[in-house]
Amino acid sequence: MDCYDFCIVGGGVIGCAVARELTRYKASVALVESACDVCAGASGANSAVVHSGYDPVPGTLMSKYNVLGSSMFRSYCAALDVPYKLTGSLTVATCAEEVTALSRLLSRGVGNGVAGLEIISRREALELEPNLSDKVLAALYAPTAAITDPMELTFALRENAEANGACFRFGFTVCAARREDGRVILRSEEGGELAAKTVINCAGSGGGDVARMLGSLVYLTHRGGEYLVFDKLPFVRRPIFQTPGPMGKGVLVAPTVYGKFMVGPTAVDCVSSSMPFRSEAFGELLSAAAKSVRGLPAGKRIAKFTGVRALSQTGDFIIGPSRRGDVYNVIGIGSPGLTAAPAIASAVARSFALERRPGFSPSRRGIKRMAGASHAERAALVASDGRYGNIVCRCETVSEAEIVEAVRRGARTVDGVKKRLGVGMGRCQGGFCESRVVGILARELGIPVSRVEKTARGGFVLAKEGV
Amino acid sequence: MKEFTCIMCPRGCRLTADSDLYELTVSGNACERGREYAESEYSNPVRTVTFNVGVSGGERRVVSARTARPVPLSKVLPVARLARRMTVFAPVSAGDVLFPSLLGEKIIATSSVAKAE
Amino acid sequence: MSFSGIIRTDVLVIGGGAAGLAAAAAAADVGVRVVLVESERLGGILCRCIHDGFGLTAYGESLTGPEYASREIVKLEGRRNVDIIIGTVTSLSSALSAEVVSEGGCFEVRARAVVLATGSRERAFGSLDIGGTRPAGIFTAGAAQRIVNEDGMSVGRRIVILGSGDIGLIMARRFTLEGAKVEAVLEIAPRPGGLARNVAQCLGDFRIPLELSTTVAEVYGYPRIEGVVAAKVDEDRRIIPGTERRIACDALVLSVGLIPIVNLLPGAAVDPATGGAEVDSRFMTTAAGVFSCGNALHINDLADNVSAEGAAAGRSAALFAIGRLEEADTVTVTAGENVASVVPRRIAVGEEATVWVRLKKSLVGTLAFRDADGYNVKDKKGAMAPNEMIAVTLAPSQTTRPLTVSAEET
Repeated sequence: MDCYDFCIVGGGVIGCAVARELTRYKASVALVESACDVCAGASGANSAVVHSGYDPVPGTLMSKYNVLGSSMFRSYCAALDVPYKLTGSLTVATCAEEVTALSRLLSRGVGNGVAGLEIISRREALELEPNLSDKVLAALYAPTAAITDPMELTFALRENAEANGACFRFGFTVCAARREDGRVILRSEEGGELAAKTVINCAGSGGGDVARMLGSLVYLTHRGGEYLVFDKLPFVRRPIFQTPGPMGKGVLVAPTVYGKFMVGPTAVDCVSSSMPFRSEAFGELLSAAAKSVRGLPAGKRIAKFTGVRALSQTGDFIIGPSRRGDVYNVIGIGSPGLTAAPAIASAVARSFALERRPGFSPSRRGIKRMAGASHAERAALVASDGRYGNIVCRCETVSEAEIVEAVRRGARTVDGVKKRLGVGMGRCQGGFCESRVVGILARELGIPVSRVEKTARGGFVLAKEGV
Repeated sequence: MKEFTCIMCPRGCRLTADSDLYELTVSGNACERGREYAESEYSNPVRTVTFNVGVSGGERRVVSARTARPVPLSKVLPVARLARRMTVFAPVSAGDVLFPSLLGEKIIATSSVAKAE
Repeated sequence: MSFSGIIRTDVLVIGGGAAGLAAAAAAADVGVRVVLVESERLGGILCRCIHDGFGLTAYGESLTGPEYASREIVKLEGRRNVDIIIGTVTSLSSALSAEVVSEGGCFEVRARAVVLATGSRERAFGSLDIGGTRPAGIFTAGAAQRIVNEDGMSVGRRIVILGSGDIGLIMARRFTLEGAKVEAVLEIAPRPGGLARNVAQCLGDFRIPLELSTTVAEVYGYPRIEGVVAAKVDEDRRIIPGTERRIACDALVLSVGLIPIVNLLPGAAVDPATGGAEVDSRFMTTAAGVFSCGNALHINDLADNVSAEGAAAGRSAALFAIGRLEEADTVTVTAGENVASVVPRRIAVGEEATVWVRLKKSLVGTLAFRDADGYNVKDKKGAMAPNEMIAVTLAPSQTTRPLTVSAEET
């Protein structure tokens, strides 16, 4: 049985960031993940916002890691070749109470150490965002907020961790743990075993279950959020939040780094790690969004998704070693978990006081893309590999060569390709390209086309054979 | 008695056709084309059947095909379901007779499939 | 071998389906140089339409899609003034320069006129108000058609079809002939979306149930679809509580509408009624030298019609390229009562022009073209429905004043 110094459970953005951070030190690192790829849960289904940090309660881990993470994000993304766009954010107030609440948020933000916060008038806000609703009276402007691609970030972290020696095992659903000779032995549902001196629990929505298997009595609740995605349109330029109130945090309207924009999330208590999209959420989201923006182009909607986050009962992140010391929990990471990820990972890794490993390489290069490349760059790419000239996804201009490379870097399913390259995320939603992607996956993975899966194990795209 | 929706124009008349062995009566039609449609649908409805036939050793797995003539409606499903279990060898050219008699019907390729490289 | 650089041509045709093939042939007939760029296979969507019913107007016989395509492709063979490139046009500037990406290289095509024959895309699952899981096993009808007809693969054994557009109806028959069971075709509108012929011969022949005023409220099952929750809707298409019922299936196929592809249109006006470019009677968009035809312009119901449009657009483009398309004053055609859309929106004064009209509702009556004084310039009588496009040809003497077209019930 393989034995590692560290075994991370869970391949979300937190687990991957911790894995990568640990490879800076002289230690052997494994990561186990139940799905066939990283980024299978909430890391791929969130608002994609790098929060400035005015919102978390001062003194919490949330506020500490949010503000710290936010300040690290730009250079983090630069090293990992991940899109990052400093947009700033607006939090809008639509009644007198909310205007008062904005000043409380402002002082909370200042207390948390957020730079540059200011409350601006309706007129100033409209100059920044012409599509604000008529109800908006004032707004809190947070210049340090940004947007990113959380999926690309998670894949980049995995690739960089692997390049630095971390070992990733997929299809490993931790179902039991025992202790032997000062090691923790994890057993998987699929039948494998893996031993580690320290287990780091980054299991996201399964974090509570894994914690209890390892002897910590932690219970997490699950909250699902539904989102709508709209086609490429310069409708908003930066994330627009609503003032949090007794009725919840409201929904945001936020652009993505690829020019689309989304509305969400709702907040629905749910029991499992996956939640169906409720039929009533369409109306709820559109009417909630109408509070902050006007003229939402309903006809431009192209997709919907849900994400489930596991929340602790204290309302704060749970980060720290268990009593026995051989388990380190990093769970209950709800929003702003993405923003906090770099800071959390760095703090977790440093807490073990390990010796630095020479030869750690912090940078990773993304897949060379046709989209966004100049004509000369495209010509050079096609000259280097003719498959760059075979455009598979017309909506997002993605070629066969990029898909082949995504598979080489770990994509195993149609969604794995989609999350890495945006194939099928455009306005046709895969209508033109899905079967071509299936064909390329089958060829590259050496499996029959009928065995290619969409998202998860057993979710075959096509029916078995014949009809 | 049989009922049809007329397909001769967008009006979509509900047609009724009935026969007492001596005479076929059509009602519900707004024009003569409707009567003709009901008469043919009542006495001898025919369809050209189009489907795929498996290809062995070709650059595609299947080749599209059709019956050489319209066949009685009752034969449509049997012909198509038998055809989908048949395989021909590449190359195939559009117009090739794939099977001279499948349940009595000549089957013709409607596209071409080259040999796999 | 890789190629880069600039190709100069008179006419660039983008898209090699029914519209593009006809446009290229008609442009070539004028004698100009033509470059046609097709992203996959010449014939386009026709290659996957293995059913018959094509060519009744153009060839006087009922051909299958591939047969129709090959007759159109033959018209381009052996032409010294036509070059065909398999590649993707990624951008088109208003100066009529296009970037083409192909496996052989990435290059620029500079044309004097461009015909956009890029076809349409299907409305996708993500844009519909259907809740539930996001499983494998949901397809648009065209995608399913490609998988079954071109790739020889299967999408499922028990299938629910949402929407009764023509492709959905035709696929209902295809699935049945392939041995799958079509549980139901659900249509949110109170009438079928596709042609009466397809309702009768694709559903009726096989006793496939068509449920009108019914939609899918929710999808269930994961990681593969296990069924849908179907529900009745009221006149405003809102789900009527209490009418929900589960239908087990292993595939959901959507045939809920086509949308013209206009993303290459360089800054030209789009008609919100059709979703395609706004054109004049010569098929020129509001961008000079850019022409549009086929499903990229408006959604047609017959390929023969698409070919006719393509030929007209191709000829106009060729004449424009050599400076022989004389500028003409135009008069407008406006959609009036009961008319959903009209193409073209502007007609060259004193030229013969065919006008395509789609209605908002079914009626028996008169489609009338009236001038500002209410004088009936041209009309067409009979039964008309929104699912069938109506073509009316106006004589040169009838295209001298602005017209409003309306459908009047009798």
